[in-house]
Amino acid sequence: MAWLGGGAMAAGGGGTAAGSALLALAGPIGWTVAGVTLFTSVTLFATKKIKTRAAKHEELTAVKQNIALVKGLEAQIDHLLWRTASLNEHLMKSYGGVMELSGANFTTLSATEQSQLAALVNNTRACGALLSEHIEQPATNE
Amino acid sequence: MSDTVRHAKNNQEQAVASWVNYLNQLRLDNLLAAFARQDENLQSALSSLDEALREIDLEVVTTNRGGAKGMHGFIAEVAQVGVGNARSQVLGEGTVYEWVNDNGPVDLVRSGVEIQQKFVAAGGRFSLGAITEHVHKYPDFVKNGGRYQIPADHFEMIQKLHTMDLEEAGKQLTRGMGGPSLRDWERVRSFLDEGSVGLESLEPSDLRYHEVQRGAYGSTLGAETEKLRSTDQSLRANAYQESHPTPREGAKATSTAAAIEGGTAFVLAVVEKRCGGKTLTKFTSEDWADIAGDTGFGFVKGSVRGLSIYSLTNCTATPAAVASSIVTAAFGIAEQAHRLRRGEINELGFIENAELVALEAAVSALSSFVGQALIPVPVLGAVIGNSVGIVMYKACSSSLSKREVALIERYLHEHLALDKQLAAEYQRLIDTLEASMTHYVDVLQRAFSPDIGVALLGSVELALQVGVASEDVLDSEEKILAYFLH
Repeated sequence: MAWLGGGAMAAGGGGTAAGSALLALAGPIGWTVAGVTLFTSVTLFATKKIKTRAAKHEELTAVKQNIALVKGLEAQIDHLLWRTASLNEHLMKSYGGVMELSGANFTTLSATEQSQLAALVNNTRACGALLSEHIEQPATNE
Repeated sequence: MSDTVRHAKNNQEQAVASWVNYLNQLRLDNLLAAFARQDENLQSALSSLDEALREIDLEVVTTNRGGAKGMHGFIAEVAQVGVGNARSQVLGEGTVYEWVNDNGPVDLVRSGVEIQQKFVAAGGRFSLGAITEHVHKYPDFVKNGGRYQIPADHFEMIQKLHTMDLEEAGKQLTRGMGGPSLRDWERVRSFLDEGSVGLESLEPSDLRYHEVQRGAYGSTLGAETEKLRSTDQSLRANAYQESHPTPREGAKATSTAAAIEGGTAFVLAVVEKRCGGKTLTKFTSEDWADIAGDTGFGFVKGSVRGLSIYSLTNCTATPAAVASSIVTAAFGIAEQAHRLRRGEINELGFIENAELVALEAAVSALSSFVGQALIPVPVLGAVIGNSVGIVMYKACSSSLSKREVALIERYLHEHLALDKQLAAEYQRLIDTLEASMTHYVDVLQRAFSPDIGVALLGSVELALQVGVASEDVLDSEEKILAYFLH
């Protein structure tokens, strides 16, 4: 930098005063400006890092809560599926058992057979109710 | 890489920068010293001219020394001393002429050589007539090393005429047509052929005949002042040209920086391996290959650093410490980019690490710069400044790290608590579902019991449990009959 100023000096010294002022600026004032800038950069860097960690922490918490929610829903769906499937299985067997009564006059049937048909109707309605059952999503903070 | 090793590398880098800066400073010091010398040279040269002018005014013109016909001779003596000395002084070679001023056989002494000056135009003999008279009066003058000084224009004419032969003179010189005549040629030839004074004993004055006349000497010395200033300017311009950065010096900076950085990398690589618990004799060929790799890379980095610092400091207004830090930051960020490409770090990590590299480089640059300014010992000032800056930065960053570690620990505790809470909630849900399942299985078994009475009651219970409206459940004989018969 000072060498560049030497050109002005060789050309007659016109730039010497300006060069000296520039060099003076590069002294304590320049150092102070550079120091403050650097300190600000360090502080901003540290603050940003801490903010990033906080954001990561919040995101991780939300993801974990969502995972727990989905796991809960999965367990409830499995439960409903199992209940419906087992009821359906029993129903099919029961239905097969009363096929021989198809077309008969109800009043001529024995009390046992009438009860058998009534139980079939109740169980079928139970199965229908299960099919229309919804899994409710619990309220979340999101 | 340990902190100590990194610190050592950092110091070495700033030491190289400071050394290149020192090379530049030396050139700059030489330039400034040349300017200072030139100031003195010009000043003393101008003083010699002023002194000559004053002497002519006071000792020759005012006293009317030599009268109307001879005054210019004394003016010529004093002016020759002033001009001769000034021309020598502006080149930094000191005074050479001394005015004897005693009306003896010697008018001037130049570096020990006695000189008789003859400025005579009368008789049209280019001052040679006056020399002949002096030779008759002082025949041993030339033999003793004395010289005759004549006006520059007279000397040129004598030289010109001396080189002509008769035929040439006959063709070129005509009588009475202005300029030298054949008669002049004959006089010059006969003077030189006579043999008592050869051409080698004649010399031109710095001045011409007409320049030393009473009405002309002022402007002659004024013009000489301008000539001196012009010489001074060209000498300054030469000094500035000579202070230019050179490819040779650049190559020196590059090769030395490469050797230092390569050497440091070698030593640090060996030290690091030794610190790992291996003695030199136990180094495997793989260890040596690692060391050679580090050394080679250090060598390349050093070359780039040396060349960059030399170019940046000389071609742009960049301080050496900053130039070195730019190189360090560039290599550091390139390394992070390489890690990013290989998938060792993610984009966020790359940005954070790159910022960290740049910050460390900036701290190093500023502290070296300040250190060098406060301790004006080349290299040492920069190294001390760099060490202090880096230690302060490390203290600050370690305090920030502690804060960060505490924060991360807090977050970890919170996550563990959250995991525990979520696991407990899930377990409660599973327990509830299992309990409800057990009950459901009981009801289901009753609803499909082989005992029809139990099955009918069970089917009612099942339908009500799963949410069938009670009016739709066939739980009485009336409802059953109504369902089947209507």
